[in-house]
Amino acid sequence: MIKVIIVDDEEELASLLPERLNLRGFDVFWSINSNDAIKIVESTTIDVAIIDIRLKDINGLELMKLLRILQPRLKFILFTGHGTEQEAIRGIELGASKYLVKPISIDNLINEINNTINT
Amino acid sequence: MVEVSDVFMGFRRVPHFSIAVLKNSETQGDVLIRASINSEILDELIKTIEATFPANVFLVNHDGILQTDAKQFGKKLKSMGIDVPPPSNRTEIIRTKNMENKEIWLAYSYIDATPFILIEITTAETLMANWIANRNQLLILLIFSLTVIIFVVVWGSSRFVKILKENDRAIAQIMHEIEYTSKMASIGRLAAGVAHEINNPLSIISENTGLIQDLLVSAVEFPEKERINKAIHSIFKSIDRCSKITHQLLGFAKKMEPKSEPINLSEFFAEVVEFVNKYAFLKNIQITTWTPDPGIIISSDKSLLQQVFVNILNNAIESIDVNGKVEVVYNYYAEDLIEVKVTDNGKGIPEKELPHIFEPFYTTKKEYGTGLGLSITYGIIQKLGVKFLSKAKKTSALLLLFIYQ
Repeated sequence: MIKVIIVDDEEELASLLPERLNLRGFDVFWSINSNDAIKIVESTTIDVAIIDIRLKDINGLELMKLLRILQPRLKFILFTGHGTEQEAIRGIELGASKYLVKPISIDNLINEINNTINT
Repeated sequence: MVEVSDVFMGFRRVPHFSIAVLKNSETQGDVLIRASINSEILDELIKTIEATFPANVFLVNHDGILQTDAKQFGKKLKSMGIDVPPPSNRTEIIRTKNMENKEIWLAYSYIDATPFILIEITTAETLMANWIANRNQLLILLIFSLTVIIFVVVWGSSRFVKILKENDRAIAQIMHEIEYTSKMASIGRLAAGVAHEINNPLSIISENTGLIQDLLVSAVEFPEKERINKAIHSIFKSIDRCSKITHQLLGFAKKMEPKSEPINLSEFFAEVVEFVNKYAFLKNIQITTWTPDPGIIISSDKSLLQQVFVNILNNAIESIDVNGKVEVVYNYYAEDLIEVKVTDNGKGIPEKELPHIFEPFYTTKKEYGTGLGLSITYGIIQKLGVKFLSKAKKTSALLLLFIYQ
């Protein structure tokens, strides 16, 4: 089973996506801040981390760097409600596989997760 | 005692006058000496006076009969035709009228011990001739100077006013541009903020709706299931619409450095037309491009420029109901000045709407327009350093001038 973590400071969104992904056969963890996310990644092997770039306690790109130290093989998908070109470019440079702008359709997200794992 | 007679013809039929002198002598008694004198001597005398004045000079007797020939008043022994001036013992000047009712100046003097009155007549015109000539010259000079002064004043002031007006217009134009640019920039910031704030709740709506849909799939059949599915579908459609708007808003607000690459305008417009041709074909609209110089190559960001022209052409096509034509004419003037004119035979943009066409959410296509097309176009054009002149009245015509800053 593919293991995914979703980090978004918008709690409702962070909890809803996992529920839907669960229904589609993914094993999903979620957190609304960097501390919880780090704890999860420390204790579990995750395939894909889906991170909002604008988190309340940390920049998503920084969190991405931290999580990569914990799990070098971890893959990343970035998403945001307010996308700027520079952020997207910076994210891809730091090794994110994809950059998505909200709202994201579930089918699109699943496609991206599968693509990320297969590359 | 001396007596002088009037001029008279006498027996010899020659005009003459007599002077008689009576002397009382104790030895010889009364002696009377009488001399007849040809009146020509008087004429000679008068002529010498006349030579020095521009006037009629003559002698008359107390009855107004001419005693010498007068140029304008007749021969001697005829009436002079003017009332005899009243007696006076000194020289007098009076103003009166001649036979032709013209105003004249008459100077006269009763000559002592004779029946003669010396008269000198001058018309007012003659007397005033020099003065009038001078006055006329002065008048001409005055009128000429006044004309010159008025011309200089009128021309100078209208020129000055024109320059002032032009300056005012230029200042207003610059102020307008500054205002417009800053307005667009703040709208851009606002747009980005709105997009951000809306995207998160929109995602929650989307995910919740998705979850309901997911749950419904696995739920047992119940009577309202189909109805709920329909509602979910409708919610998704609205979410799509909102997200399209927020994405476009972000596109408007995005600030990125445009690339610079050589673009062959003929190839470029062929590609742009290819993009929109399908849409135009459905409405039976012909798109033509024309240029006097097919080899124009400019340096700009191709993909951004494509967005600009796809937007403009789409707008042109949308302004036509069916069966029309859109024409793109472009020309090269200088390295930094290229003109592109897009005309269509559609509805055009009413003049009162022109100032707003670049504002986000301003649309005349109420049912299907987002009002973002031209605002995004404007944002791109600002980035490319292109001057955008729009002139549209009855037919739509957009004029683009590429002025690189």
